[in-house]
Amino acid sequence: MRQILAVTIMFCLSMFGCPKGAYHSAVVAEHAFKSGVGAFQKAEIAEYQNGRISVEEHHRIEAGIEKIGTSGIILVNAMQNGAANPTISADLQLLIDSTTALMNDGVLGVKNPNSQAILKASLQTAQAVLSNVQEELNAAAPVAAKP
Amino acid sequence: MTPATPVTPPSASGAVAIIGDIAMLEPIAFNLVASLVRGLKGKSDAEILAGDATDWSSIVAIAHSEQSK
Repeated sequence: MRQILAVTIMFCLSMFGCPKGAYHSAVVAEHAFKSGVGAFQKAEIAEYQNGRISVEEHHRIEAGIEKIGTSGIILVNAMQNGAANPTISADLQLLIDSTTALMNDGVLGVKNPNSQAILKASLQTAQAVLSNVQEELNAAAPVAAKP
Repeated sequence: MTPATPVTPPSASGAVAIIGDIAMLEPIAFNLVASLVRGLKGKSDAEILAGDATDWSSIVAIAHSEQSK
């Protein structure tokens, strides 16, 4: 619930004064998600450097982040090139699947409860943003049409 | 007359857990908002996406490098 509130505030702030449109909303949401993943990565590296996350856990999580990053590049390229909505939706689904895998295979396997809680909260915030992107895409078919 | 059911006060550990949860999330959410506003200020959609493509590449490169440590 708090994640949703945070994301709602984020959107209100980010949309203020900006030109409207489904494409722009999707761009803003993608940007927010990218920022969320970047924050998650920084938090994870800090936990690892402070010895609260093992090498194995660190490798597993960074492997998950790498997959998300690769999916993110594919999504950005599709949006830049004005790809059709089904293509963008498929790319987005890939991102969502990668994020779920990171949560299940990486974050939930962290043994230190405090570290796990920090990473879980961070990733859930990013996941909430991603849900908004999906809603934007589902709500407006011609998202890919650049203004 | 049935005695009133005693009301169990919230446990101190439960309250601490909730406060800890909020404190953990707030900086994350605040940093996200700050980063978002910084990233969007005065930029067109094309510029935002161009910057994001670079940032994603950086995230991938860091993730790749961290796995070899």
